[in-house]
Amino acid sequence: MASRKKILLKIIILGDSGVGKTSLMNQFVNRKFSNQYKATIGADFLTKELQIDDRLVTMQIWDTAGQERFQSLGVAFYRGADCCVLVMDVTSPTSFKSLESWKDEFLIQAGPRDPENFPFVVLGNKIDLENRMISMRKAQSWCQEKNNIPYYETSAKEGINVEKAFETVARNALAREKEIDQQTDFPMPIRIPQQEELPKQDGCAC
Amino acid sequence: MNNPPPSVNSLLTNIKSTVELLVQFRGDSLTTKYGAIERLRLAILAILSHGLKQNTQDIYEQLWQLIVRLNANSQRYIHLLQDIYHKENIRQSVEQWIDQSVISQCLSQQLSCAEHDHDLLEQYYYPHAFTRILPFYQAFLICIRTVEYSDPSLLINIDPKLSIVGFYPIPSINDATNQSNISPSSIVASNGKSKDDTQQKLRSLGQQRILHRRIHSDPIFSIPKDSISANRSRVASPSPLDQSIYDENVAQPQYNIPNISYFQSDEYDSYGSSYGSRGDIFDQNKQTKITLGKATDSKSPNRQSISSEITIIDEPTNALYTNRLSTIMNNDETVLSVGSTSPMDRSITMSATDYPTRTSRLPHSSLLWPRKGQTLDNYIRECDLKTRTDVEKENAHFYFSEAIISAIEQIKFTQQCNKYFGQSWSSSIANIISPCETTHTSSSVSSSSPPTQQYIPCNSKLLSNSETKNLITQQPDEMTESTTDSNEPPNNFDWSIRSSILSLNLQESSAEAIALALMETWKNLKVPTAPQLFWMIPHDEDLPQELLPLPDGISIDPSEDYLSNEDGQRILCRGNSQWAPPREQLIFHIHQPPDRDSQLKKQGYLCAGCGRHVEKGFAYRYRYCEYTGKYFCRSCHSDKKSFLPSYVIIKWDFSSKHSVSNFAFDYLNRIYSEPTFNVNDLNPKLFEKNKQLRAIDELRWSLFYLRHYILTCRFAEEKNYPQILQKLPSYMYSDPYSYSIQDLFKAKSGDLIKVLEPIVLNLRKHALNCALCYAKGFICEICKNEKSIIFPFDLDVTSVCQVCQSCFHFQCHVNKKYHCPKCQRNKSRNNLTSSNRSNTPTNIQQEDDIVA
Repeated sequence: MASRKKILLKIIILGDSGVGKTSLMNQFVNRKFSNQYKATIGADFLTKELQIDDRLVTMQIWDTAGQERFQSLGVAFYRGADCCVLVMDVTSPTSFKSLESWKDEFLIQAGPRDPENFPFVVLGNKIDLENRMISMRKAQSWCQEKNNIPYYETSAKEGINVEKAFETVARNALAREKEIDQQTDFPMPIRIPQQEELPKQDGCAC
Repeated sequence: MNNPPPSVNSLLTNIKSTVELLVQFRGDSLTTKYGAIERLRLAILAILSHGLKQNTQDIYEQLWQLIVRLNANSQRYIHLLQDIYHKENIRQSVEQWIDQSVISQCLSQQLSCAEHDHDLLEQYYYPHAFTRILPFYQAFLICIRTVEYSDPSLLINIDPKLSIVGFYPIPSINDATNQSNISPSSIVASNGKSKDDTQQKLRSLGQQRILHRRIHSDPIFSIPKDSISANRSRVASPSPLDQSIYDENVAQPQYNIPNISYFQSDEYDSYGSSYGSRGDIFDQNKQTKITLGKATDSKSPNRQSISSEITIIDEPTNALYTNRLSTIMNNDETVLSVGSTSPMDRSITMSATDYPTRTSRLPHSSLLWPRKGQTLDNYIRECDLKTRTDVEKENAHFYFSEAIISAIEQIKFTQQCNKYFGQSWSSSIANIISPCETTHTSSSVSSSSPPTQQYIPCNSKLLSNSETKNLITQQPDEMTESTTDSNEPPNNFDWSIRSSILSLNLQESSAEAIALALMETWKNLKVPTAPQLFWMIPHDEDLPQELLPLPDGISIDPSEDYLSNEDGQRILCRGNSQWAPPREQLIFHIHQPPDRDSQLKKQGYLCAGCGRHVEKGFAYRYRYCEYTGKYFCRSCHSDKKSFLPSYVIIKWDFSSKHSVSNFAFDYLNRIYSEPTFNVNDLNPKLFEKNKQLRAIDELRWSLFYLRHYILTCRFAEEKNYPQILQKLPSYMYSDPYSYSIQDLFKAKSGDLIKVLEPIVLNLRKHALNCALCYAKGFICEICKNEKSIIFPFDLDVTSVCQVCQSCFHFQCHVNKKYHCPKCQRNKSRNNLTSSNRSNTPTNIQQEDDIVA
């Protein structure tokens, strides 16, 4: 058990500007919420250690800018992501509509193996607000269409469901990590000659 | 910080002139006007930081605290504050707060919270601070409101005294005005003023504000149009008479008071009535435009700008004719409106509303030509009342020197004549001097009442002589109106100001102040009325204003100019059809070699700088300005040598051998470091031809892309990289094609590259080695090689999509014929959302497959 390597999970949070990406991350990582809105510029990450079952994982959560005007920066950091969190604001129909394109763009830019089964989690944020425009059913049915993406209704302000949602994110990311580990054990063409070489060297030494 | 703080007056003048400039051209929004918001922000910042208590904190931190406090009582603009708060860069926050508040029109509202919150202001400002002096603070708020509502007429609510350097109001604006009204020391005005007049005037002043808003809807407003023509003819009459009265007075000074009183009241009468008439003729014009064939003609005397206003002096027949004509046209209507209200009520309303009406009708006009019968002193002060831009302030000096010189000459002339020919002559010479007046007023001359008589009866007599139709009902109004009018002008000025002006440094005073100060010396002499003066500046009354040359660069729709006349807002144009003062304009082309004769002919043998005429035979003495392509007299062209932007940009020729006019020389020096030249637009071949410039272009584009990385990276911030970038002027990295002449000079000398190169190398090194910046690199979507992370600032390997800013390997992009897969996706996405949303996922997937 102790010999197990420390696992780093790379999580990307995407969604329209103002849906609460930074707030969700702050609520999850620092358990803090501020009513002040400050647009995220560029992209930045926070890390948080988390115990999943018996494993300690480090989540590296990348918060991104939802605004068009920061498109002049690249998204090379999508590469190697283990899970993508798509956030919408339940009071904003446009933010729901754009989930589709955020998801597509992510898959294109991140270029993951097996994109069909890449783990996404959708969060409908701001459920503490009264003027809700997207019903839970509508959001859930969209998620089901997309290969059963888990859907959570959250409030970064009240801290509702945030912990739970990120736990699912971590679990799904971890599951994928394992899958990929298993996959890479076999097809990695470079490793095989190394492994073959090493015994040979050993043999020579002997 | 070591500089002495600016005076509160200059701060106010500064923001006022900025605001005037901003609102001058309507239709342009603040955000689109180049540099507009910056100028305004600077002015506002200067005021807000004036007298700010400085603790250990940064000045901007202090200001930010103040801003937060301003919003403490209201949640309305809290989103704005949240939006702009940058913990790291408070200065930026403060600046953005100003910008955003002005743009979203909530600055005045936020600031007005502090207007009466003495505790708050006390906490942040020293007692001498601009914001602590209520009249200034209020004036400041008015300025901001003017911008927010783009309503220049608001500016007239600012007491002009506040702009005079050294003026320091004691209790409040109103008090100051009242005091000034009472002060009894005007040149000619207040000698004969009775106590009653003053009281009445004060009363009307009180009403003025309350009634101000009624003007536009008030049907009574059309009343004085009858009196106008009456006034006009009457007003003209006294001058010859006065002349003789005046002469008597010289001999018998004890009669001075009543006589002057008569003269004076009449003058002011005309002041008021012709003012009123101007507005009314206007109304009438609107009404008679269709029926009257001469609509355009009749318009010309009303226009406030210099060239057309002179009509009154030169072609009185026309002016009066149209005036009368329209009066007659409207008589019926007048009778109706007269009948609708009781004469007493009306008279009060009239007197009270009269003044604000005038001013609100001419918010833009500044240097008007004098009206008939207006005293010189009155005229100068009225000009001072109007808000003006810097250029006009400069022009004001010319106008007033001319007026004063002319006045002195005329006084000397009259005195000489009197000496030789006696008094009888003086009245006839006065007729000659002001021919326009005599032609129309012979009847009233004969009917003028004796000097000792009170002016009210005189008034009515005159009226009954000239116009007859509805004068009987009109009379009481006329009397009241004239009474109040005669008192009103000094409302705006008092002579205590003047004494303060005299004690001031002349350099800081306005043209008006100096002119008035000069006139002080001959206050005991009879000063000719302003229109009696001989004006030397050529004028042209026939040409409609819109045919005058307009400044380049700012598009003004002439028809709009006309339309805007209707609500009293107009656009200032200087000069006339033959000559206009040179305008500051960027000239990018090289002029054809000059042909003296044809060019001077085009200029009408007038100096392009001052309008001085030159005889053909002396034309060789005029000098050619290579910048403007025009000929100037030797006073305006001292054969100074300068570089020319056109040669620099077209020929990369930096020689300063070009002979330019003084005006062009000053202008070129002033714009030397202004980034006004987009080299890519003006001459893109320059980059190809010139190695130095190409190198700089590349460095600047690198910076353009690098700034996104540097300004959004917390690790870069820790190392103060943003400050390195921000040491450069912002256009250097935000607008890579913009160059100032100075930049081009430095590009040639190699100085600029020495500055830019190390910065680019340094910042680039950070971006490539920083984990966060590196993560924001691009992976070429065309070759999808994730081993090669590319960056837009590496111009030699990266090609950037100009639409979506995606980066590709240069070679990949070329191979794809600069086709951008991301743009393609966005396009199909937009098409789909507009047609059928349910198909979106599959179609996009296909699209992606095709692109891949």
